[in-house]
Amino acid sequence: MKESPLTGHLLGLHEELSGGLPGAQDATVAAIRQRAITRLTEIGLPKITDEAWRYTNIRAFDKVAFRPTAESNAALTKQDIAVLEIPSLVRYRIVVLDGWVSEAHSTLDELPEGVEFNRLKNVLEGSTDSETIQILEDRTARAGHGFEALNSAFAADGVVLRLQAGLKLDKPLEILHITQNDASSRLANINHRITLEKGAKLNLIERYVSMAETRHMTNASVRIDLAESAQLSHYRIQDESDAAMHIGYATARQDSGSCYQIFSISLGSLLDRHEVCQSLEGADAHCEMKGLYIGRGKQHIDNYTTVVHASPDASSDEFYKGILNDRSRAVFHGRIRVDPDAQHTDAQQQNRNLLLSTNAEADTKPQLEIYADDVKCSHGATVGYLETDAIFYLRSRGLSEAEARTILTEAFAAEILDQIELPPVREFLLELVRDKLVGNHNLKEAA
Amino acid sequence: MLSIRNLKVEIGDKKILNGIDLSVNAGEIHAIMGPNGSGKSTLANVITGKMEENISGTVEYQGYDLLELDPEERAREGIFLAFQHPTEIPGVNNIYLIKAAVNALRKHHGEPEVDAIDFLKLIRAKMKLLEINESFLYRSVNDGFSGGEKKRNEILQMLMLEPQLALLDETDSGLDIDALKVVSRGVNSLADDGRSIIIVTHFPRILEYIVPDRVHVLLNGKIVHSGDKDTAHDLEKYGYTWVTERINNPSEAVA
Ligand SMILES: Nc1ncnc2c1ncn2[C@@H]1O[C@H](COP(=O)(O)OP(=O)(O)OP(=O)(O)O)[C@@H](O)[C@H]1O
Ligand SMILES: [Mg+2]
Repeated sequence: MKESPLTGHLLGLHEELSGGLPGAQDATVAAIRQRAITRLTEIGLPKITDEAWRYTNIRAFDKVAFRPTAESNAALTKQDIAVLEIPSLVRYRIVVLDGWVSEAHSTLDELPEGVEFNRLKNVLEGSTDSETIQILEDRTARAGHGFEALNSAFAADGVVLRLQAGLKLDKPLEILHITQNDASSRLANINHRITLEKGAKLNLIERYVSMAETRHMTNASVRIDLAESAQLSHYRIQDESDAAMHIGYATARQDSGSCYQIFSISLGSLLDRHEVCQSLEGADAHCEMKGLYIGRGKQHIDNYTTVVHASPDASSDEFYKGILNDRSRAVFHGRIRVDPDAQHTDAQQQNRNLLLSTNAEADTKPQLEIYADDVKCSHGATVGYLETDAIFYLRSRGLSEAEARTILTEAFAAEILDQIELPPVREFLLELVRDKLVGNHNLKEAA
Repeated sequence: MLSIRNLKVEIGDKKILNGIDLSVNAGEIHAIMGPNGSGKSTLANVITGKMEENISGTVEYQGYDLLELDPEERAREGIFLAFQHPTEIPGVNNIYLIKAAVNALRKHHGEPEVDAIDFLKLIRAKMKLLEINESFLYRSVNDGFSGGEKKRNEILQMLMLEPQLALLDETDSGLDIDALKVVSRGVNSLADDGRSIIIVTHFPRILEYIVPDRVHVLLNGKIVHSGDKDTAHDLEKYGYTWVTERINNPSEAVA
């Protein structure tokens, strides 16, 4: 089959640039990259004829000459970054600039003992951490999509972090990804690997912002490993340029008694695809997946989630909500697989979509594969407009129709955001969501 | 205050209101009674603006052609409806709504936003009067409230908004005996020479606490009888047929 123009462009780019990528001289790394490129050549980037991408068409980006940028810290000042801060959040911070970890802008020396940090770039160059390098290979091997192969082929940098057993990090860690304003059509392939040893605990903020409304591409992978009783709260905030393409995938593996919580907040980019793949491998593990997406203009937001219950007595609770205005479109795919051994599984899934415009659209699809018999599973999905009775009730108390709609829409979003246990992050997001909604002229009219 | 002339409402080809004439002066309390489906809530909906289509006749309120105003404009001009079935609004905090409503009215009248502390003081006083627990302020509007709690919450909103014309649509239904007294006390605390109150009810009891100047009987979308406060007891005693008979046969009127 003929490859898409974008796939062709990226394959050509790899030929041109691979010699200069970190670890290019290392035989292991080079071999992995080569296998990834072979796979990308075979399967190409996802097409709508691929079942998992039926509703998400990336062709609008066919002609963009995406290109990674070289590592540089020069362009950004401390002040530039200060305005991006989440107000009153006390945190450790790692800044990733156009795909490169910026040690200068990070607070690495503040990290306490028991936190092992490395850059993927160093790992690749020294080929020091075979486990991490193996992941690039695994991802390609486990029949991931073309973006994953692309990511392995271009893998350059990312955060490799390990919390030693029992360490409960005293402050949240924010990984702040910034696309600089001169980075039009920049391609960033990012690979993070977060490992929590037994009983460790972390609040992780994974945040993406753009300094300008440029048409760039972020292709980000986060690989999470939670040992027994580890606890991770993961706040993923995607607020990139409204013209960008954002592809992200979080893969988490959980041992027994561990607890993983993700808030996946999608606000920016023209095309956003975010996958969460959750593997409950140990007994009595628990995961919570909360999502909130806001679509405006012609934004397309695709959440593709998978929960695999491989062990007994584990529970998963998934709740995604979306607010869609203008001509935006959302796709939600919620797959739950309960293996034969996973007795006493409790798996809940809900997806609710609020349409603010008659031109907005949401497609939601649960996919339940249950092979154990003693399980509690439920799922529900809705797509609807604001309730006219509620709007009238508020108007009858003197609020304008626009105010009524805003209040009800914010309340819809707050049901997810109110569950965030870090007050600065919660307040920041409530405010951010409010801004996105107020910017919506349609919100002020009757749908 | 309010003057309704030959008001007719149709839904589909069904006539719901069939030529209503009703005048309520400032300071008056009126009661409207009538069997299920006779059009009482529809009348309230027309006055508050929930119904906007297929209406003929005129509704004049304080010099305004009421039917020309948006629901929120009517509210800001002092019209308040305590709903028969208050809407549940999950996610919207009760106190937030009340404060937003108070400020919307103040803004309309060119007043600054209410001071946060004054507001809290005032709402606490009203809640005390209505014997409402403070936790209700921080719950979602009517969400999961019991039937009686919803009714009290409507009256709390009413006391905070201090309307010129208050409509109470079966506020007494679902209230226990003590609650009825408490709520009536709340309503009476609002009543004064400048305000008008219309009470829609099925039961004379509430009219013992909130004594009406006039009682109207609504039947098949028409006011078929208007009398003084004793009308309510006559209705209870003789039923709605009495009223129809009396209309058909004025000479046999019960004394
Ligand atoms: N949207 C509607 N569509 C069709 N019929 C309606 C609608 N709204 C009201 N009606 C009808 O109009 C009539 C009057 O209804 P309304 O609610 O005003 O009665 P009510 O006097 O308040 O009754 P109740 O004492 O039971 O509260 C009823 O027959 C009702 O079914
Ligand atoms: Mg009624």
